[in-house]
Amino acid sequence: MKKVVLFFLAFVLISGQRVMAQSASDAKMKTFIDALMKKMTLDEKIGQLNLPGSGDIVTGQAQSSDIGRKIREGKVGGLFNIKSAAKIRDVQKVAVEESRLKIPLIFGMDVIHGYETVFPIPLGLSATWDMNLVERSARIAAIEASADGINWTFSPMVDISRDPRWGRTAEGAGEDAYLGSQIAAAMVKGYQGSDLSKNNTIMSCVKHYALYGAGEAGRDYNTVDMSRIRMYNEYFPPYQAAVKAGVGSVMASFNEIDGVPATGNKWLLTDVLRKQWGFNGFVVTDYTGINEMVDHGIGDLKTVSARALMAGIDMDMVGEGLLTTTKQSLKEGKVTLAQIDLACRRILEAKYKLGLFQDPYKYCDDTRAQSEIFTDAHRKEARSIAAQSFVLLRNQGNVLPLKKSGTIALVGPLADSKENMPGTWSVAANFSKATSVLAGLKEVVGDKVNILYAKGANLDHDPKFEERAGMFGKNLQRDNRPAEEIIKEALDVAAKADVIVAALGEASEMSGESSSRSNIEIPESQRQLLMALLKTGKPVVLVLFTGRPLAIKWESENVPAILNVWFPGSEAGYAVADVLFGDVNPSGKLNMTFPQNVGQVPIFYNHKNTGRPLAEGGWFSKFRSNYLDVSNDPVYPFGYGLSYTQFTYSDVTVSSANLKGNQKLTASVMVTNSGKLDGKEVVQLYIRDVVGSVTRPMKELKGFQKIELKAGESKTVTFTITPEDLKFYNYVLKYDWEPGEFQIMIGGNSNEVKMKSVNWAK
Amino acid sequence: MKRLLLINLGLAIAPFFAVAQTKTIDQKVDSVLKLMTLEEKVGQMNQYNGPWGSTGPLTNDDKLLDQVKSGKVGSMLNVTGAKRTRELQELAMQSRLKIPMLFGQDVVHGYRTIFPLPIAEAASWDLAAMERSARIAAIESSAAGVHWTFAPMVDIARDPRWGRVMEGAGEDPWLGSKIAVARVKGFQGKGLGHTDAVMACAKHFAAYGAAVGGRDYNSVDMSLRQLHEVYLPPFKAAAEAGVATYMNSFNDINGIPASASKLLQRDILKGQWKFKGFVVSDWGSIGEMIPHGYARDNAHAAILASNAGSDMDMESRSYIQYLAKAVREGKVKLTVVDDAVRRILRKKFEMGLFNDPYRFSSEEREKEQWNNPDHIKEALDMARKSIVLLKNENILPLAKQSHKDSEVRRIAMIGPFIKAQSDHLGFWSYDWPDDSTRISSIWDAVQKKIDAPATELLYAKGCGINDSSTAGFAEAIAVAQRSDVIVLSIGEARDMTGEAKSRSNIHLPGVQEELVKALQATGKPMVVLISAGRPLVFNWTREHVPAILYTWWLGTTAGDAIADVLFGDYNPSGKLPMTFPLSEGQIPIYYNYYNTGRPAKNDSDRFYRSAYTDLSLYPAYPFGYGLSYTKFAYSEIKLSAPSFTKTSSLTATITVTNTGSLAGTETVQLYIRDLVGSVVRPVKELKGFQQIHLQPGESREVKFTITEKDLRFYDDQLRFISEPGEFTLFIGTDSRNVKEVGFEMK
Repeated sequence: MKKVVLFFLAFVLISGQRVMAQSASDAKMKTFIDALMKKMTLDEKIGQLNLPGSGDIVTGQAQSSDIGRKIREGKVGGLFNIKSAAKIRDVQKVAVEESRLKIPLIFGMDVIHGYETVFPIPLGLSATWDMNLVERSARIAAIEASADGINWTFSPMVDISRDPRWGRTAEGAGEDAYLGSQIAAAMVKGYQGSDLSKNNTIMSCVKHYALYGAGEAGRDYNTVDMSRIRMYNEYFPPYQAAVKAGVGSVMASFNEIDGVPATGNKWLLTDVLRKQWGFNGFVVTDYTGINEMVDHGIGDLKTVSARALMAGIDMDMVGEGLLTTTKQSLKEGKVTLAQIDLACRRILEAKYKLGLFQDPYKYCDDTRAQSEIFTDAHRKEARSIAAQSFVLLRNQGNVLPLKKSGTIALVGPLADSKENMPGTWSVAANFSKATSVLAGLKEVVGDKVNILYAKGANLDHDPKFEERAGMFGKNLQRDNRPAEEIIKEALDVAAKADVIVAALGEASEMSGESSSRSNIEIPESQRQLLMALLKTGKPVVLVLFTGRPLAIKWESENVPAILNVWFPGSEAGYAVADVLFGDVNPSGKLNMTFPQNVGQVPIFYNHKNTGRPLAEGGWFSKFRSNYLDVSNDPVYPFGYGLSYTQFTYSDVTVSSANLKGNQKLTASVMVTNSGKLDGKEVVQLYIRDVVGSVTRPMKELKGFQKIELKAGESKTVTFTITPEDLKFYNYVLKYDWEPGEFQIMIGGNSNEVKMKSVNWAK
Repeated sequence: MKRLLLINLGLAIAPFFAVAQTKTIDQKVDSVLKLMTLEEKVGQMNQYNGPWGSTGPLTNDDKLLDQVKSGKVGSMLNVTGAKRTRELQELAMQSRLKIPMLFGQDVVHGYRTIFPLPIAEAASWDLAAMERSARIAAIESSAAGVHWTFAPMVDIARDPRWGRVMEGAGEDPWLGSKIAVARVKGFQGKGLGHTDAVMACAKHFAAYGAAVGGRDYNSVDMSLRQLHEVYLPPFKAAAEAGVATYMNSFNDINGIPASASKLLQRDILKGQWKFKGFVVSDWGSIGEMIPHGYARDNAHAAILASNAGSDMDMESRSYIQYLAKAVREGKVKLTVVDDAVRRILRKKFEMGLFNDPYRFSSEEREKEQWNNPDHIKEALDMARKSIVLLKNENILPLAKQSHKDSEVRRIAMIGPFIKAQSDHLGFWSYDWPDDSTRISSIWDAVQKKIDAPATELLYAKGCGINDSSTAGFAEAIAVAQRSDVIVLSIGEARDMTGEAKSRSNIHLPGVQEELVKALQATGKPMVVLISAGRPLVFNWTREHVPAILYTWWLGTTAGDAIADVLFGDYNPSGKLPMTFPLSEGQIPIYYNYYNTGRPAKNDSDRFYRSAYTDLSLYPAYPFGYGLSYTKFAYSEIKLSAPSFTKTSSLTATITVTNTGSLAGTETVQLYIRDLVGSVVRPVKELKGFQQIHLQPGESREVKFTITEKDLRFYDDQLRFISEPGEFTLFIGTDSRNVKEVGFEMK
């Protein structure tokens, strides 16, 4: 009792102190910035809002460049995607030594899933369902980036996406708002640490605000349309979670919302973001986001720039709309000086928080750049995280794990590629240092296993498509012989092996920005190879590379073992070997539904029931909501993923079947490792609000625990549920819960759950 | 002169007359209402399925007839025939207040004479013809005792996976609105009260066509602006045209099932649009709010739906069981029930049923209209106009006579539709016992056209519609090889598009496209006819076969219509009312999209553009597309002035010339783009069209007048306004192939 009181007191004291310290430092910051802004001319203020492309700086001398001139004139607030501490120091020097007010620049970069030590693409990373690992990956990315001069990253991308055609699903955390929110917070914490002014923390930028993942037909940059209630319940939560976690900046999205591009959408950028959520950092556009409003058709550059500023944009990436038109707009009364001041202040505050006014070179420490980037320790963690991001989709007859003996035929266009391992958006990566599957396997098993290799197939029959998919130096060395001949070579190799490992799927640039696909199957050239390999009768393991859920119905029925490895990062080869040979037991779970075909898209687990639902497991049924030619089931549901061991779930026990008001409900389940290997399992909690004042999803993820169980071990997993977990935005966008029946479901994926009903009164 | 004067006089006195009429009916309604018990009132709000047939999960009740006698049934559906309706109405006349029942029926594209599918008719762009089609459906069905049709379906649809695209008018709100009006006028004829007029029902209110994944009955979510801009216009147009009733849609929209949407029913329909008729639920849709997770049980559903403005409960039995109790418990106000009953009774008065409850149940009239040759003629006219020529590399029309005197010309007639009959009827149609003598097959119709024995028809089925077997290919190839030209008729089975007939794969079913390949390999010239209820994907055929006619499902006269077009007795004039995608992965694709901030210029402009890496930007065929056997050339556009004001107008003139050698009909289409808006505006919007018939070599000036009204849209506050500024005006033969000119509205 005493202990509890003491603890409570201590908590009050500590948090009280923190608040006081916070306001003291805020006051100090305000004094500093007030003084600075008094000295600034209008042009200099507008200059702070400018984030130009790095242009000639990347290749030339900072001082003599065109950007150098602009910096000197106080027309640049920051720069991005410049790599190396030395280069950044050079540029910063121009700002703090040659510009009138010596205001330091902020340096951003797309550090999306690691810096030089590359972690799995975010879609893979989030398949770990392990927030410590997610945070740790961002922490390491921040350490490496900050050691090389970077103090701001355009990450995390938290756009909910239900459309696997969209290339940027690779960059997010999938389809679920709850999981997405956890990951958003973990990433922000990882980048920003507890103190932004430290030299190894960087400012995070949550993106793309908002709803970018809902582009029509999965086509990148396409129109978005949805109701407000859907925005609040299904798409906004991860952005809000990042704001709650203290994210320093927000990036506006390319798409429009309610007919107004996000970049010029005041309701979004000011009413929701600042007034409702209390965000107090700055908002940057996406690349030429302001200029693109001309193409959106809402005005000329001056008009859209003014609209963006007044909507709540603080910094203009690349397009220089604000730089070139704001003064004129002020004269015409289209913008206010107060808004310019506000935007300028927010940018200066960010720089202040990063400690740049204290020491503008704080992130340009050559010794750190030498000793803290791509270290063995970081790579070890990346390897471990990568292995935990893999999702075992199928393992008929326990083909996996492979024995560390005998002969393996490793085939496929992705088997011997380094360049494709880091995945999309690996700006700082050194591709030559990535480990291919072939190299990783060889290194991990040494002489114990005879590993034979053949490419077996080109990425795609169409050389032009392959060219587009091999951009940014990620060429797959096209083999120009006829497809049959390439396959034949692989079959010859397979003939000598005990087991075949086929590394197939997408090249890394088949997903990512501007990489939407209308066809989400494994390319035909590779499918043909796979069919030929299966015909040999030897066990085949498909190591599937992908940046999106693929339509792999046929594979799911015909290939005995499928390991989905996404794009694992710089340590790909090792991680794949670790899992294939059982040194790591796979534990990843899908965060996005895998459809049977593209005609089923969008398909997601938290759909509504409709008025004419199909009976569970049934199909086809007349006058029910279903297709004539495909069932309503996905190939693999959200939350799905196997292990080399098996987990069995007991029935759910609840603390009470009837609750009232702010009572707490505990729901427990006993999970047993009934297999022969130790393993990890993600135990998932879903809730369904059976009757609502609006129609409610069939189930919603409300909690999960990743547990480790020894072979034969059992553990009771308990979730505590409060009315807070039952809340949603109702038709008038009030966030509240409604009394009634709730179904409490616990299981190993969204489809296989145990359920108990409770009644919760107000 | 005298006649004109009379018309003027008529106009002048009409309003007085109308007011007097309404007042009288309102008074009559009130006098009936006063006599009614609460149970009898609720009875009027109850609609049962008749003892015959069904369109949904059947809920049977043996005491149905007793309920009619005790005044518990206001309406029945699926009851037709003069005799049957009379029998049932006689039961209603045994009720205490003798209030007649309304008999409703899904008369969607014809009754006795089946017309083309609504989407096929829409492809005619011939509003007068569509009105006549609805008129004939009304004449035939009203003669069979039907008071009320559950049509027109006016749901805008951008997703060809959805089976019910066949029932609508396609993707465009402007064209959809015009067609909605034409159909309402056709059904309701000279007005309710005439025995050949049936009440129309605008359905499904609202946004049913926007179901997620194109899966029928699935959830719908959209911004209110999109709802107003794209999905509501045809419903609003129907209200303005005086449609008698509306039907709720099954879907929930933004979290509220349509059947319980106050926004839709009370605020928009009965509020803003001042609709005076009544709203009927769709089959069971009030009860289906339970699986929606919106209503706890049927009692709750009855409260939610009635309060929201659903006046009549089709078959969920929520009202009849629970509504009276809800009123007594104060959960539903009596005024809500009274309002609904007034709306229903008013229609019964307007239909004249209180004067004579059997006035539609005339066996004599039924017999008269049973085989009306004029109707067949009209159906043929409509069917021919519905056919869309997608491709023609100098093959069509086929010659009727063999040109070679010495040799016999042979036409290979291949495919599962060549000898088909009922497959041509499509979904939502009626099978009659004598169909085999009435429906014209392609085979029979072509047989009639040719100059036998100089021309010989050969036949092979090739394959079934959804076969996986290619066993019949050999015979088909053999037949093709013996022929001079191949006519291949393939497509979807009649039950592959329609309600609850969504497909995730909209390619040609079965091995039909394989058959196309096999026949094309013979090297013989080939015409492919595609029968379907939705836009299909048939890329190989599109790229390789020289001539393609999209023949939808054309109804009773399908074969004759197709033969007329094949042999040039009718020069095809149809234009697609919906975009044809290149693949399922391209869906939704529609012509009136927004530009986005990163529009691609063409298919080589993909990098950081809104494009796919693996597919063209463009559809297989755009909205408005359709060829003719002749050619039309468009001049540049002349504007009466470069700008106009909100109070003046602008005239755009274009000269269209028939440069081919056949007479033909062209649908000249007007599109407008608002270049800069306070909200983003579509890249093009259809704002007008004119159909012209030109002789070979003939030219005609086509004029469109544009006023401020044409430029209105819903802004971010949902105000229907126009904004001054720059616009582009396009005139052309389809939505992509256009001439353009800029103008300004000051």
